[in-house]
Amino acid sequence: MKAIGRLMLTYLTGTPASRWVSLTGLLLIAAGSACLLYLPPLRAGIGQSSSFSLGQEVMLLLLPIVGVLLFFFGTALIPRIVTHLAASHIIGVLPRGRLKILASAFTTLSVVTVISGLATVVHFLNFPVSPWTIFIRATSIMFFTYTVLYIIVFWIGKTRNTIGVLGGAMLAIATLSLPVQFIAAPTTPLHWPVLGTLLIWGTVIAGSAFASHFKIACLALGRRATLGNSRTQAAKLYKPGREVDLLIGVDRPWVLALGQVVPIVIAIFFISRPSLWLFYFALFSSISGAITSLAAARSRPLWLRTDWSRSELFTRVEAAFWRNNCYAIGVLLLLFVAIGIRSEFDIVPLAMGLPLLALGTGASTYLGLMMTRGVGALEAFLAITTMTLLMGTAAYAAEGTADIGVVIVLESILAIFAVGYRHLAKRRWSSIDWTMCRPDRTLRSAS
Amino acid sequence: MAACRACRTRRATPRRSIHSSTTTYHRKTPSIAHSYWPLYHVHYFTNSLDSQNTVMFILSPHSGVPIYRQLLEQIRRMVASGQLPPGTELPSIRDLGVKHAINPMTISKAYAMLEAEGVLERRRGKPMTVANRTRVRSLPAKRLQQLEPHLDQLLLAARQLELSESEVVRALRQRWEKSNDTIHRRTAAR
Amino acid sequence: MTPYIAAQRLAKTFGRKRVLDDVSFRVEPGDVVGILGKNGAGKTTLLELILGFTPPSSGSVQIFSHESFRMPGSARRRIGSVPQQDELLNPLSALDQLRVIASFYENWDSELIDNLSRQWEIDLSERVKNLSVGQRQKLSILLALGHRPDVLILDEPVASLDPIARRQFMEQIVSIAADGARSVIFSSHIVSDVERLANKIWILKDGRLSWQGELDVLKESIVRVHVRSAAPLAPDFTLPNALSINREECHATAVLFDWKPHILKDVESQLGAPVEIESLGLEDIFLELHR
Repeated sequence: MKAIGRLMLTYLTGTPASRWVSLTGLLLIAAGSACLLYLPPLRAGIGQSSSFSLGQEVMLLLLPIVGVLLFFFGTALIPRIVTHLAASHIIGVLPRGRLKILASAFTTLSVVTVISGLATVVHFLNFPVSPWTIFIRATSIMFFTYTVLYIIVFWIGKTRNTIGVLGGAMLAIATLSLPVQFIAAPTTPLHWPVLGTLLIWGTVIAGSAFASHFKIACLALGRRATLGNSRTQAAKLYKPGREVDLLIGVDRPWVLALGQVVPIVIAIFFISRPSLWLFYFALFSSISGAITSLAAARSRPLWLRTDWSRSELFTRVEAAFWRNNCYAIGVLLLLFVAIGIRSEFDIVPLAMGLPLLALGTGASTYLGLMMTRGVGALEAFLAITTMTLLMGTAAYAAEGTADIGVVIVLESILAIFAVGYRHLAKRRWSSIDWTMCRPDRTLRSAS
Repeated sequence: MAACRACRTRRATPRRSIHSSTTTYHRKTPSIAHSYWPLYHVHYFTNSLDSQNTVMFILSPHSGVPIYRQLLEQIRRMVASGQLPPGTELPSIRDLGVKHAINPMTISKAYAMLEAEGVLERRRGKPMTVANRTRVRSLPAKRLQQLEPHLDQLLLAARQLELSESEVVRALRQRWEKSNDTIHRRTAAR
Repeated sequence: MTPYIAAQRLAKTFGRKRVLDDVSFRVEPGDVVGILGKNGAGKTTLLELILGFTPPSSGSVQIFSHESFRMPGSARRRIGSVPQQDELLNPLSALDQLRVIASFYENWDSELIDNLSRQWEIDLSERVKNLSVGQRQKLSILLALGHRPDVLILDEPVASLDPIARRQFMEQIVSIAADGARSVIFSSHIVSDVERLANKIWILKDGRLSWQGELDVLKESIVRVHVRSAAPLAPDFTLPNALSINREECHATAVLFDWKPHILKDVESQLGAPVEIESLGLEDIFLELHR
């Protein structure tokens, strides 16, 4: 019991960052819920008279949502810690160690879900649906969403870069939009998310229970494979002529390109509104930025081995990353067109969406390339500004009442940003200081 | 022919020269040729010779005496005593360095100083050789001066062990006679 | 001869921390320089400045007569570097890792690398991520040797190697140095290795070169003296140029720097007592300089 409690505390407060984030999240949930409970009802959103302006209402409604998000991210250490502990030999020493770790993860997840559920109930207090129904629906869909989100965060966290976490945060926000849809439409059936939850958790529990057998089987298979195959296996990775790509880590463009397909296909079941789709796609277009932010740290061995000046290096690294990202953006655009046609978007979102996605990739790629000194205040500010612009344009462009002129202006601004970032990146790379762009260690210390 | 002490494999020496290795242990590698790597430094006394009559340099990189000075003094002594007769080729700087894993510049410094003194000479196309001119030996006083640090050490040890002068002199005389025999054997075998 | 590497009053500050201060040196072709220093003394930063990774805060450092930070590609290709943390690509096999790096150089000596990988017993068909720490380090060293660089810069290259592997590495370094036209700079904790290989020593203490020069000169200029006098020694008994002095009733031990032979006679006559001179190995010298 004590071990489980201590583990839960670690999840929530393991690093100073997670401590602050969890606390802030909880505070915001409490504050937001209190506002919604005790202030006069917010009706401006549904066209009725209210004591608050539309903007103020949005702010008040957003408070608990942001709080829930932050609280979730306060626990984002769970997948890393769980896998790290499960793989270490501490597991063998702690009595019923595996069980306790799983129980702690499950309990924490339940706590987060229940709190989110309560916040949701308060959010929808004035709706003509019984709070209990809302609570049940909210907790079931959120449990599933959070489980999936932990997996996403873990996967992205493996890039060991704060930008990876930022990108993951964006993706997580996107995934979190699904439950809102689910809860607001009380007739959608619940068995899909419930089944999904049982499937994922069942796999995790079975995997941990039979982990040792699994590991032995894997090793045996692996040994049989390596005896014959390790050379051919490894040989498949090495492509003569692609050494530059290998060194900077862009030798497998299809991983990113096809990796986008799965979450988009899953989202087909949940998203139908064009604005939400464009929003979602815009998020994906910015993932390339997260990957490119590793460019500087990875280019040092390349610079050492070649006779390129720093400026030449920039040009070639830029080209290599574009070669890598163009597969991803191509797949993304195709999917967007396909879904646009299937969901019968208007011409404006469809036509304006394509350049928007391309610009999203461009701006975020160059933003990533600019990160030659780690993520400082300027970089974070620019990243947030760009993301806001991108997302805002996406949300606006897909609304039926969007003014095409405004959309063009917004996209032009985004284009200017992209060009500006390229200029800045090029200048920074011409005198890059390799001691300032070492791989990020914050996540390593967390686990 | 020298026999490897570990496995008794014999190898022929490529040419008649001084080998500076200490105990060599032979090690089988996956490659075809066997290579000899000196894995350990073992201190040998000068009357311990293998069948090839090679003399070993004793070099301690970790002592307070710089390596070049150790080499310098050992070569001087060996030349003065006749262990290295004129015309003997010394190992190349690279060979000596690699065998002992010591910096070649230090070896080259010792060789250069000995060349300047006239103890060694460099012949065209050949490695460093002991010079003929060392037949003319330096004055006894100068040579005795080189011995002084060792005499001081001997004196210190004798005093610490509380030995008398006659005991020490007797022991010295015994060893001297023994080493005379060894030198005679060596010169006879050549 | 123009030195391969030269620095004048080099200094580097990271934020508020002054990592290096007033460092000047020359590295000639054929030198093997060993850098000794406590952890955090600035060894890695010094090597990074020489490699041109980062610009100096003040002063300058040149390699092959170019400013290090701005050195052209042609200069960079004459340098081999082994960093403290290896930069190997995990999913590749060791052989492919070698091939990837080899593809960047026309003058890659594959025969040398084949021989060394066999001699050093690196399993080339194994994936890099499955190699042991020692094998990874050996592989990293090989990657820096293949293009026969004129300057080899190594940061703690043998920290994870067993004594046999260290010995093989040392033989290779000696072989490189014996050329006379190539230089090696390496930092190491293992003082005994530095003692064998280096002809020049830099001792870094708190970012400053507390000693630099030839190892032979260092050994000859620092000695430990033992004084034994019949009468008790004066409480303020001191010796010239003493780094440390240990006084008891009738005898004292001191470590002196800048030793010259005439000092022995002076001290002996001054005290009327016998003085024994003990020369120190590099490890003892290092410890004494850090008291």
